[in-house]
Amino acid sequence: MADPAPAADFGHWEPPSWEEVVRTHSARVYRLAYRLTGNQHDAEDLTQEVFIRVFRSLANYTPGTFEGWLHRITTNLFLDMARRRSRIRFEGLAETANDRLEGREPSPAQAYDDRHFDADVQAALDALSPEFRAAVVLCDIEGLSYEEIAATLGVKLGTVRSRIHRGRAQLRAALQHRRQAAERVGEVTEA
Amino acid sequence: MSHLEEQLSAFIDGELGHSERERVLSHLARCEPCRFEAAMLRQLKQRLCTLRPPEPASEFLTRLLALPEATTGDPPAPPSGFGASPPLGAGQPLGGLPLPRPERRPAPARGLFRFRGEWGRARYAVAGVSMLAAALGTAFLAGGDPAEPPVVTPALTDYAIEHAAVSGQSPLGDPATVPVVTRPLSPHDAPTVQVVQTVNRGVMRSDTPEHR
Repeated sequence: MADPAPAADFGHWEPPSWEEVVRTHSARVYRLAYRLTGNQHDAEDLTQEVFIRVFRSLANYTPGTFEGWLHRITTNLFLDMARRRSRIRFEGLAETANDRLEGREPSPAQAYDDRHFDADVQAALDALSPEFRAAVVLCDIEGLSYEEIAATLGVKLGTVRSRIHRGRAQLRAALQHRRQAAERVGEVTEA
Repeated sequence: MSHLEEQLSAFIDGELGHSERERVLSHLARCEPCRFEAAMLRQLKQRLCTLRPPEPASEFLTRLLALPEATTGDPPAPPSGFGASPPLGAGQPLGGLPLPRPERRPAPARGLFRFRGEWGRARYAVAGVSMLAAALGTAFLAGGDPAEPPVVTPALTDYAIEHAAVSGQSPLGDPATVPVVTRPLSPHDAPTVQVVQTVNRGVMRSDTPEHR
């Protein structure tokens, strides 16, 4: 007679429905994915990868701890994707990004997007190495503390600090470069 | 006097300890270039903060909502509830107890066999607990079901190892295990406890008339 109560309690809590999970978290995951990957197609792919993992562990869903976990898998899947996609391109990019930025030619699509204020920043973000980009995005767009970023990326606090600072320095250089390029283009078209 | 570097970013982000912050402030008071740098960094941060969030396309949301159907036309059931899938350790109880044979012949006498009478129901309790433990344990460990079809299987192990190799950190756990293993119990668990208490109180209240 005493047994049914614990048994009932054991089955008391039910994981949220899939629709609830998607409605609650998809916009945030997509935003992070978009800022990291820089385009809709990759952002959708990354978001879908994240949600496949979410679906698998739906039974372990715990509100409150879930957001941090989403940041972690989104960021790490992105870094993994970026490394796998172009091992060579990203090697040593951290050291020489500024030199490489000079040679970066905007594609017609980018040139179109450049009319939009946000697209300028996004393009500058895209020019960062994935590690720096992840640190800056988590800090300035997701609003995470250095400690949270360290936990998300699995790196030391000092590394976070250094990546954010160097990432920002490169961002500034890229934005400046883009502004100058835009000015040059403006002169040409106006002339 | 060397200029501020990383400290400046950390300063802008409010991530400096008290003493370091004081040092930065006193440096800024007498260093024009660093003040300029700080202003530029603030401006950049502001610009990033105010980026308009991109909205996922509605067709994409539809695709996400349909993920369960896309992922689960297959035998390994989705996590329909905690431990709801068949216990993966069911074939081999942790206690090493012999499973009932089809003909129900008595198991060969072992040291443990002598205690059968006393153990009686306890044996089943132990078996039940060990089955449960096996089920729970493996449920956590088996984020990627072994029998998963190739369509949606991510190279999670590869990924963890590769990530570990590249970042020089210890490998990430299976994402499926992370929220449970690394996080403390959340406030969400409180309601369950409260329910139990309410029930008890209800029982006590119903008892009181008889005591009068």
